[in-house]
Amino acid sequence: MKADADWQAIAQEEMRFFGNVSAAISHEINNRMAVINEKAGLLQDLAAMLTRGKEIDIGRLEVQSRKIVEQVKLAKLTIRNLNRFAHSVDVQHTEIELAELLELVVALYARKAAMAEAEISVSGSCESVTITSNPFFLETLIGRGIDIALSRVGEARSVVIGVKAHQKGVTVRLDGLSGVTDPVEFPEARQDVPALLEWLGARYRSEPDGTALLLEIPDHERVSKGRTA
Amino acid sequence: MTEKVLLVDDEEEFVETLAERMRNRGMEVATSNSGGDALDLIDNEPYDVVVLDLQMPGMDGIEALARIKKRQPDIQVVLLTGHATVEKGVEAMKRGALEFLEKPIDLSKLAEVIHKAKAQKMILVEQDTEERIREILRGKSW
Repeated sequence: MKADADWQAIAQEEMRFFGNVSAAISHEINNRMAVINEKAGLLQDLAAMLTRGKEIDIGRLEVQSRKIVEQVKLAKLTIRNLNRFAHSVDVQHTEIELAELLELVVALYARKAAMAEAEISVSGSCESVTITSNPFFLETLIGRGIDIALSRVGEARSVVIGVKAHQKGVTVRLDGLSGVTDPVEFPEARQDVPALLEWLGARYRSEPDGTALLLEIPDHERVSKGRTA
Repeated sequence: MTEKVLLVDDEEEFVETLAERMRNRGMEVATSNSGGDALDLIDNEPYDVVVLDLQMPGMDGIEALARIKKRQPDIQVVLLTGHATVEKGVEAMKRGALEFLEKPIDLSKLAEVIHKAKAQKMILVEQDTEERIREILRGKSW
């Protein structure tokens, strides 16, 4: 049985991650609203000009209306991802398709990547791996892995993430890094998610050439137990 | 006299639409999508006011503000933010921002701030000119 203090430490790590992602997403939604606000304002300006008898190209109205619809679609997609993310705390033990989970976390990190002047994507050759686990635990560890990768992204400014299953568990791999000198574990991971790493028996390590970060989750069963253990 | 404004935001749709609306209101507006490009524009063209987004890739708004003020102390800077925090507001003011506005923008409020900023810049330029005249007079023997 896990001690209360350990659960508290894990809960704090999870809350920090949840807050961090929510803040980035709320900023993204606000940006979409800011664009929609300007486009709606511009339509009002054009309508006012028409009322005053000024000639306006109707095509301009159509273009701006279409752009509003595009912005609404983008906001809707962001909200849908946020909703999926928020609901991932509902279940502690479920079957997870890891490639789908990676797609979600990558989408949640799009703004952070842009702010780091980098791109992040799921590898086209990503294996289909299903494990039984706690989705929010995994999202937290993958998200923190992306944070580390973005802080050490290589010259191409592109991080590619994939997953591989092996006999002892799964490995999430983030390629496109440079200058990774710590061959074993990353200090920021020890600082950010120590309790979660310990509980899952997981670890971050780098490839010897320093170009990839590997998140190793060695024991599915232990992961799958989550908080019910 | 027309206000000459530089709008800086990495969200192109936002900055171009806002610029069009400001032009419809008689302002002369240039745009830029990064702090670095904005600095290049400022080096080559005089502006009354720079409206800067706080969160941008690479050089953020606070850093861009500091660099603009170092190059052109008379330019007035208005910062825009998605979610204003007291800490960020205080930091922006300390570094010389005239105002700190939240997105989505209320254009009439922004226009008001830009008028105020231009007036403030004119006062600063006049003070600077007066000081220079005094210096010239002090240097003469009459």
